[in-house]
Amino acid sequence: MDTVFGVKYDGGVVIAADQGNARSILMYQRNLDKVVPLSSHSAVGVSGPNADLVNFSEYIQKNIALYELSNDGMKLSTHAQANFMRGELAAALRRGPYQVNVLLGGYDESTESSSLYFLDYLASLQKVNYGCQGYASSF
Amino acid sequence: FFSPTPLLSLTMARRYDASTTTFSPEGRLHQVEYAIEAINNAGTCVGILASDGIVMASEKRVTSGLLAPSKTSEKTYKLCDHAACTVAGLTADANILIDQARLRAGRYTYQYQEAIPVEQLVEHVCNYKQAYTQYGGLRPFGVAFLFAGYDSHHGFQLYQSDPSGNYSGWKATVIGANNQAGKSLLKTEYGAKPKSDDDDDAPEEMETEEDPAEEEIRVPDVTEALRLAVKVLSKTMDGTVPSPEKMELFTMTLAEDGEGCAHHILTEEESKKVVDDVEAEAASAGDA
Repeated sequence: MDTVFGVKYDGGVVIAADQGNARSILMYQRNLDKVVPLSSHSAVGVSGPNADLVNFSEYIQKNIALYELSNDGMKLSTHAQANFMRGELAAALRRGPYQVNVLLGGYDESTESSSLYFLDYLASLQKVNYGCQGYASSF
Repeated sequence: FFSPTPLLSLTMARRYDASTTTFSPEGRLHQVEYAIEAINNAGTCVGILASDGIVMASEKRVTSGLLAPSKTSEKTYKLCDHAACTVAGLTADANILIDQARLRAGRYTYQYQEAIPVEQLVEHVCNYKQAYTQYGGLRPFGVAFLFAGYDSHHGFQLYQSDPSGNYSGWKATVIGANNQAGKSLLKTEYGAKPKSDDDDDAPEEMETEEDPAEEEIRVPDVTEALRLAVKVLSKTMDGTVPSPEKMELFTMTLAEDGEGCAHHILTEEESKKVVDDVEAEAASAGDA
């Protein structure tokens, strides 16, 4: 029942998501942060079951952190992060897929440009100017 | 990094040098040091960082006139679009490591859809080499590399690595036979202002020992760097007359269309021109 929106503009990206975490009539949580920072210059809005939402986003987040630690602070561009994420979705797809649909947005200082990427649970990847995942995509 | 002293063979080193995975009482890994010795007998390679690219010049050791040329190059290897390396040491060992480097570069691009930063590529090869100094009881690789590469983070870069798995970045360096002589020549000549025709007008300032850090290094361009590289090779090749057939000259620059890098091994004609320029410069300097 998630909703995620993303819009790119000149100088950055806006990613918005709801904060609900519910199962049937039980409202577990009203303050779940579904927009997860991946690095100092990027974040991902995630839609899907809570388990994969948290597990997958943290997995990507920690791998990106490891990259920066291992490479003297060098940052992965948004494009590289998106492709890395897609690769992980693709690898898991025919084993045990991550049931997440995401919008990854970031701003790269090296090119002074912002970018937004749409990835779905089937490991598709598309650079977009705006997008939505979850319930919002039906409207 | 110090090289083994001649006394080693007479001391107890023999008891600790058979296994790579054992330190000697002095805290040394003899197998690694012996591997480095093997490279000091191999064909020289010079690498020079220029303002608009990188030059790598290598000594070609032709063992027999009957040899058929099977590859386009025997010293210089392309690792990916934006990186290449030259080899000093056991070519068979080098081939394994070059495969590793190519795979790593390709896998990185597969994963991130981007070019691998040069230092990461070098570090990967070096970590692979290091494993052979610590695990498995296998001998180290008898190879030293000069890596030349370009990336958007740090521009053109030159790295040197040795059998220990250590690597470092350089503005100019030499590996292989007589590398010390080559390096000392580079120390004085790299970044030195070119001799102008009106030398006699104003006395040149003497370089004092205290000032080397303040002295502005003027980075040469690829053309100058090529000449300097040939000069260095001439010195390291036992003072034999420099000739294009004995040298392999390689340059890496940005491609003219702006897409990627240009890897170029100079043709015999192009090499001859550089060698001729160097000889002319030496001759006129001799006259002055």
